[in-house]
Amino acid sequence: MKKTVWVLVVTLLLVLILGLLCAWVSRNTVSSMKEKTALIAGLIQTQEYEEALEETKNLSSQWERRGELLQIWTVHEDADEVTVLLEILSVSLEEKEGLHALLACAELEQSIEHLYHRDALKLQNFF
Amino acid sequence: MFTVSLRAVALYAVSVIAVRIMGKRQIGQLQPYELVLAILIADLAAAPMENVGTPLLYGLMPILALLFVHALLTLMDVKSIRMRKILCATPSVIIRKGSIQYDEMKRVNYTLSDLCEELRSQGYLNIAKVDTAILETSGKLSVFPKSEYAPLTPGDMGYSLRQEGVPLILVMDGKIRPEHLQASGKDEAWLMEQLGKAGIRDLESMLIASLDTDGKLLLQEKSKNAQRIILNALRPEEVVW
Repeated sequence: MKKTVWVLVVTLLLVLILGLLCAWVSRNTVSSMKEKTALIAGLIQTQEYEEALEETKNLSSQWERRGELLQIWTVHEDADEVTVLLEILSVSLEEKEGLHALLACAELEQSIEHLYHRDALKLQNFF
Repeated sequence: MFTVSLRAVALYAVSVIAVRIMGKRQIGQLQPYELVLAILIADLAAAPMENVGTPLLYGLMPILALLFVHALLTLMDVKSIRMRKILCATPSVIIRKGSIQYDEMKRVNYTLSDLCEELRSQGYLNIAKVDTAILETSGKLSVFPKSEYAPLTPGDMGYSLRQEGVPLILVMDGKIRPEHLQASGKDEAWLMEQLGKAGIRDLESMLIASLDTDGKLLLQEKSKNAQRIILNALRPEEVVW
């Protein structure tokens, strides 16, 4: 009986702590990266490609730092998609191809959002 | 490839721990909610094991969550009779006073073939010899023969026998088991003296030394042609466990 109560408490704590911690890190990373993506999109629309490229490099280094951690609990294909889109965005900005860069930016925003939303506690995810 | 192997080892370890936490029961003795958990754990562990792209936590977290539910259901099972009825159902009497309870069999989807098969497996060829048969919640059939067909016991014959206790394994595979030696109230010197009486000098050569509650010490060496030796090692009043 005592063992069962211990298992009950320990598993509940582990599920809650790990679940909340993963969700918190994912949400923070995703919201900060989304803000940066919106900023980059704005710079592209005003054709400030140099500044946009600089912001994209910052975003890439942020992703390098956080991406490895996120891959502990997110599907690796989802993380790889963000890496690839960041590369496409950088190349488009270097070539000053505004339309391609905007498209990459939109896709990147979706992919970043996907990192958190697949696991978010929502009714549509539950079903 | 090393990653896949390491992930497999990690998931296997977690699955074994999970099943170990569930308790010591055989598959046939599992309650329905325990059987479902065992199946689900196997499936959850398999998914991240075969796909490196799936995080290990995708397998581990659901296993933890299921262990939590299992612990909760076990507590409810122990604490509440009503919950036990819901979770594990109740035993069904299939044969009562020698009469087959057909309605009960239909209710629990138990066929006559199942009944005959289970009776045969328990050594009853003739159903007429059975007084009571109860289908337990684990799916096992408990069979009680009519008094005239029940095995004769010393009690039936009016004999009063001394209760046989658990024998202590003092040496197993050349190694002394200190906890058993301590329980016997004797020490290593005494054990070596007993081995010496049997002409055994080397403890490493011992396969087993078992002391029963009649005070008899059974000795057998590992060598190919070793004979079993039984010594009267203790007097009945010296048996303390």
